[in-house]
Amino acid sequence: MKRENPSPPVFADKVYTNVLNPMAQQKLEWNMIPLVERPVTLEGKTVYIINQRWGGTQAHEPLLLAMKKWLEDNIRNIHVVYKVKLGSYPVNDTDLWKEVGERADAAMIGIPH
Amino acid sequence: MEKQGTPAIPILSPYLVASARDSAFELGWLHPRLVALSEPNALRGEKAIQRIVNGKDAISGKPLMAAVIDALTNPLTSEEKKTGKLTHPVEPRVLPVTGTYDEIQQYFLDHKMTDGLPIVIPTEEKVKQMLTGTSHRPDDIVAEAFRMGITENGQREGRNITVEKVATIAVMAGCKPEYLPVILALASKGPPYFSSAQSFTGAAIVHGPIAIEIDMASGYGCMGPYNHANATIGRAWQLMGRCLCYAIPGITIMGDWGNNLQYNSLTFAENVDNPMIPWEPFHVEKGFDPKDSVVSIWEGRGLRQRCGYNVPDFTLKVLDNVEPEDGALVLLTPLSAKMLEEDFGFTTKEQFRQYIYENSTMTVKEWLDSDQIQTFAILHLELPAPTPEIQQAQKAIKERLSMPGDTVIKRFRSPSQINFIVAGEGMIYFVAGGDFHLKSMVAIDPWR
Repeated sequence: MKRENPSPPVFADKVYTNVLNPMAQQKLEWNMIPLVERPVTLEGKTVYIINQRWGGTQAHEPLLLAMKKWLEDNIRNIHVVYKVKLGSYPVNDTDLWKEVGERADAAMIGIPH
Repeated sequence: MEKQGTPAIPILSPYLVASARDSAFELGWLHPRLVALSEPNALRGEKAIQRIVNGKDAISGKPLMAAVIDALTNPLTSEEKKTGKLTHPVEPRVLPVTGTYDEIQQYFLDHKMTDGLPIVIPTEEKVKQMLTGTSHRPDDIVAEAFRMGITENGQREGRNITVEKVATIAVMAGCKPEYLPVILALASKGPPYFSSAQSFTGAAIVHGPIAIEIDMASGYGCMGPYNHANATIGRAWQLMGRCLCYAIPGITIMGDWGNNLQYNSLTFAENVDNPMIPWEPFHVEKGFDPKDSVVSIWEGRGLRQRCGYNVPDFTLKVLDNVEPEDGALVLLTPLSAKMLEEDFGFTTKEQFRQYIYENSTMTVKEWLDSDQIQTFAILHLELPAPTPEIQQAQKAIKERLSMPGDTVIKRFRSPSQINFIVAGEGMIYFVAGGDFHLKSMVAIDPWR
């Protein structure tokens, strides 16, 4: 195939104006949520440890149970409740969140993949 | 849990901290208390677990368990108590930049609006030319929301995506106006990939007359970097991930590797012209008229190839890495399809589909080893099954869970998970296959 010799494009000196924006608009405004007040200590408190289940129940259970044991061994009268949430990680387990809200003084959720 | 009034913290992999901050911001927490392990933990052994528990919080540098206690008990700072509004900036229609070619390229790179390659600068004039490729108005909405993940979990999303916005991206990718209906059809279904620790890619296969009208390749090198329409349509689609839902590695894109196929989203046309092809086109099989132009949208990780006479056996071999629960895409050359019909007696696609279904197998142990099964299938047995199909699937999963590990089972749930596309010139008997499942089929003609 024969190639023609085109004249080189003139880019260097041209000034580009009116360049359109390809970025989509995200939501403009939403409410800031303050953190919930913390207890002074975990001694004598009920703490929930939730397994979020990414990778399956077993993927993080040994670590979360080791953390549970550490808390029980090191904090007086702490009551640690280990819970596995319902279904896979995207499932919203509203019953469990309600239970945590009613019974827990503090909580942590393990999503440590 | 904080919304229920309970002080709560996530325990994270050190590699999820930036992403978690971004998600927390999207959900309303400007100053979340996060604790991160010293290393990832999933499925690690006892040695690693002891090292992690006795190790440090990757964020504060404190001992991990001390950081947990602090995050749950330290009094709130004034910043953490703050109420008010969070905002994203208003995206102007015209960018606040003027400059030379090099300066504009650098601006796009700096603002994470490209795939790293130079773009065609989307001036108003260029975008106006692009818009001649559709009868739709520039402000028509193509997609109300554009997202890579679950918005309720804090994933970012672009909103009210207009025809002009998509045309702007089509210009950047180097498309011609006549490609725009295909690109709008793709945009109507969202980005080509979603945010996952795995590295997925989309694939777009164009069926029907428009593929010929816009000179897409379906023959020689149709999946290579040679055809203008294939290359730029696929590029436009992947740029939508970047520009319409803020794909940023480590923050909103968590794929450990990414996927090189994302560069043009594996975009090509189905070969329907080669006289050797014994079967109807894919879109006709799916109920469209032969004169309809349609794009099929797929999602998967990759394709494996084999070359040789025994096409049925090689098809099984290229599919033997497909994870359970995934669908399969099998690519055949026109000659491979002809040989399946003439030499191996598969006079219809259905017969070949049934053959694959019956003969593509794995053991229960292999099935159980799959992340898909551990993360989703088994855990979803706890959820209600709203349809007879899901009830049936749950029943099959329960049966498999009770079988010995060496029991041989079918790889696919049903023959309908297996799809065939004919592409390539037809000079030899190639077959390729992978874990691409069909997400949707979109009519292109309404976007003309």
